[in-house]
Amino acid sequence: MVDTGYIYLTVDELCAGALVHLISGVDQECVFTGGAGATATAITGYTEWVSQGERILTLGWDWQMHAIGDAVCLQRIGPPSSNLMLQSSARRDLGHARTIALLNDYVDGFDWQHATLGHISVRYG
Amino acid sequence: MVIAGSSKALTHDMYRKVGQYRQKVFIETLGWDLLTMDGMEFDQFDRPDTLYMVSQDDAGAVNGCARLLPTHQPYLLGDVFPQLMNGQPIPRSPDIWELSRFAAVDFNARGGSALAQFSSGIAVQLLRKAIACAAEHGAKRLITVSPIGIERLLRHTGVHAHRAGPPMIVDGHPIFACWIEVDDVVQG
Repeated sequence: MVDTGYIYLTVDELCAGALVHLISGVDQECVFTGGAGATATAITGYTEWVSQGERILTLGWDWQMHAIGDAVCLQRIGPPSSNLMLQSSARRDLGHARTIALLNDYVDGFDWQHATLGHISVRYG
Repeated sequence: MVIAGSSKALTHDMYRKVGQYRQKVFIETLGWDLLTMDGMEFDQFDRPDTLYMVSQDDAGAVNGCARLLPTHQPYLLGDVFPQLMNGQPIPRSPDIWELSRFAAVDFNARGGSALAQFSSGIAVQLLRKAIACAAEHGAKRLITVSPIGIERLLRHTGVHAHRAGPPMIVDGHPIFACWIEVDDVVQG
């Protein structure tokens, strides 16, 4: 049998586990294009999250920073990348596209912004 | 224009240009801690059987490169970064090839950056050529050790790829191992 490299989980198993923040960063253009004459059109970056355990689940996605009044918030842009293949409760693979769609919902459903902003503040502050 | 071939197939001048380009990208621009000699970046995996992809602009300047190694011979992931496989077996097969030293920074273009390289037309062309070349040499899958930014290129190119494991932080930057399926590109 070919080792696909995937970790196989159902949605319930994914939601039952916890991810921890690994690293986040601001895209290089945003960090280094602030010189004379440069205009920042958008601040974007990435964030990486992992599970605990022997086989580690990895999940990473890009984000864009927005200002809402005096506050800033981060919004996911683009689909998450991972080593995960989601399965049905009957243990059938849901496929790449369905897995991505469900991971979109999963990422948008938990507060990753707080840890990401905190990490960025320390790293670039 | 992208040319492909082993180090023996490249002219001596082209081989030097590749080494100089890699030095400029990976050491001077990205700040990677790599071996360098006479202004060129080459390592122990640059052997006579190594396959190279080289992209050039109309004036002949190198604006992209990539390297292919069969995994049943020594290669970067297997020898230097096995921990990126997340506990899975290290690939050792003639039908799995490694893509490494991928770069598409056009130093003659304005506004280029290490990240922007992954969304350029040069990068897409170079990646497709690399996958097709690997397939011609028997590859059914590729494994790559890359900065995570390459995922943007893989998505942009429409290549089916997924992570082999979590990123590892090297010099403050996350690198990871990624599986790339060759079928979509070869049949597409």
